[in-house]
Amino acid sequence: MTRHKTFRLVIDALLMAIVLLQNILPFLGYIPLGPFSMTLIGLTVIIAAIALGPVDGVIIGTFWGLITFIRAFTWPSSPVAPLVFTNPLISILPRLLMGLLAGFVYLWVRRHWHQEKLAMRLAAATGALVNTVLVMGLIYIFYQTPAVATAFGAKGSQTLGYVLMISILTNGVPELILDVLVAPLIAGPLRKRWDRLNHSAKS
Amino acid sequence: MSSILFGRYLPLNSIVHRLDPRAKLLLSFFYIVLVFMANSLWSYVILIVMTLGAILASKINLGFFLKGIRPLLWLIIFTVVVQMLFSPVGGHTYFHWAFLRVTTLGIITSGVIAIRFLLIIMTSTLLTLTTQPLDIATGLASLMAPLRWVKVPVDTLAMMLSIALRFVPTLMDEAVKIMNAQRARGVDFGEGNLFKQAHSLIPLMIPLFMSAFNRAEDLSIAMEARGYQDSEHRSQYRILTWHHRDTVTWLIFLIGFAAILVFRRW
Repeated sequence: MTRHKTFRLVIDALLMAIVLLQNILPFLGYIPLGPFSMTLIGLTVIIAAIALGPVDGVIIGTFWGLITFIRAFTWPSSPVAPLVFTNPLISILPRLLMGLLAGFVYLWVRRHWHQEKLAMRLAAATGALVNTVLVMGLIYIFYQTPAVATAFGAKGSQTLGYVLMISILTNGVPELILDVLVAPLIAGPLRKRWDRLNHSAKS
Repeated sequence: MSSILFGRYLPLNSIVHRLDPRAKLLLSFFYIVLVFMANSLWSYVILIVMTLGAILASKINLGFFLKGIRPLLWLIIFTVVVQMLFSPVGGHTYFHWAFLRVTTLGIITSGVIAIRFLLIIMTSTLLTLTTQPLDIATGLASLMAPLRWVKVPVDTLAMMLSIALRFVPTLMDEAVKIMNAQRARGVDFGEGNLFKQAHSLIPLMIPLFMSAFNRAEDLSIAMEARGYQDSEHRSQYRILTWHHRDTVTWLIFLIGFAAILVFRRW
C-alpha cells in the first residue's frame, strides 16, 4: 500500500518535472504556428489523467495552470499570455478541469464500453476540448467585464473587446489543432504505461 | 534557449544572494502588487530606482542582465503594438483614422504596459538568478505552512516540488540524448509542416515518458528502502533562518511602498 503511495508521489513529481521541462525547452512544449504556437503540455496532463487517474490529472493540470499564471507575469509564452493568463480563472481553472474530466471520461468509458483504446481517445479529446472551450469561454466572459481592462490600462470594455477578440482567435486556433492532434498521438504511449502501472500495483 | 535567463541560477556572493528565500519570494509577490499600483510618473521613477538598486546590489552585470531579457523583447513589443493600435477607437474600417489618434492616449497606455512588464520580468529574473531552485522549493514550502490548517498536504507537495526541480536537468539531458539517438536513426526534428513536426515528436515523447515511469519506480523503491514512510513527521536538514538583512530589505521596500502611495494618482 505505501509502495503504491510513494510511487504515485514520485511519478507525479516527475510529470511535474516534464511540464517544467516543456516550459524550458521550446521544442518539447510548443510547435510554432507562424507567430503563435500550439502546446504539447496539455498532452502531459492528459497522459497523467489517463495513466494514473483524475486526481493526478488535477495535480498536473493545476501545476501547468500555475506555471502559465506565473509565466504570464514573468516570462510570457506568447504575445497574448500577458493579456489573458494574468487572470487565474483563465490560466488555472481550464487546466485543472481538463485533467479531472479526462480522467473521469477514461474511467467511465472503460468501465461501461470496455474499449481501452476508444476510452483513451475520448478522454484525450475531452481534455483538449475542455481546455479550449473553457479558455475561450472565460475570455468571452471577461470580454464583457472590463475588470481585465483596467489592470492593463486599456480604457473601457469597448476597446478591450478588440484586444480580446484577437486573443480568442490566437487561443482558439492552436488549441483546435491540438484537439485534432492529441487523441491519436497519445493513445500509443499511454497503453504501455497503463499496463506497467497495473503491474506494479499488483506486486 | 541558452540566451534565456529566467529560471537559471548565477552563483555569486552578494547581499541579494544571501537573503532568505522566503523574504525574496514574498518581496517578488509584493513587488508585482506595487507595479500594478503605481500609476503616476513619480511612482514609476521610484519603482525603477528600487529595481536598479536591487540589481546593483546583486553584483550581476546590467548588460548581461539586459541581454537575457532580449528574447522576450518582441513579445513585449507585440503586446504594446496591439494595445496601441486597438486602444483608442477600434479595430475595423477606420483603421487609418484611428491610427492617427493612437498617438495621444495609446502611446501612454502602451508605454505604461511596456514599463510594467519590463520591471516585473527583470525582478523575477533577478529572483531566479540569485536563488537556488531548491531554496525556492524550501521557501515556498515554508510559506505554504499555514495551509496545513485547511488540510493541504504541504509536506507532500514540498517533497514533490523538490523532486520535480531536482529532475528537470536530468530529464533535460535525457531528452537531448533521446533526440540525438533518434536523429541518428533518421528522425528530423522541427522540420516540415505542423503534422510532420508533431509526428516527429512521438519518438521523443514515448521514451521520455517511459523512462520517467521507470525512474519513478526506481526512485520510490530507493526512497522506501531508506525508510521514507510518509511526508508527515519528518525533520528538516535545510533550515531557513531570517536574518536582520531580510528585515532591513523589507523595511526599504515598505518605505518605497509608502512613497508610491504618496505619489500615486488616486
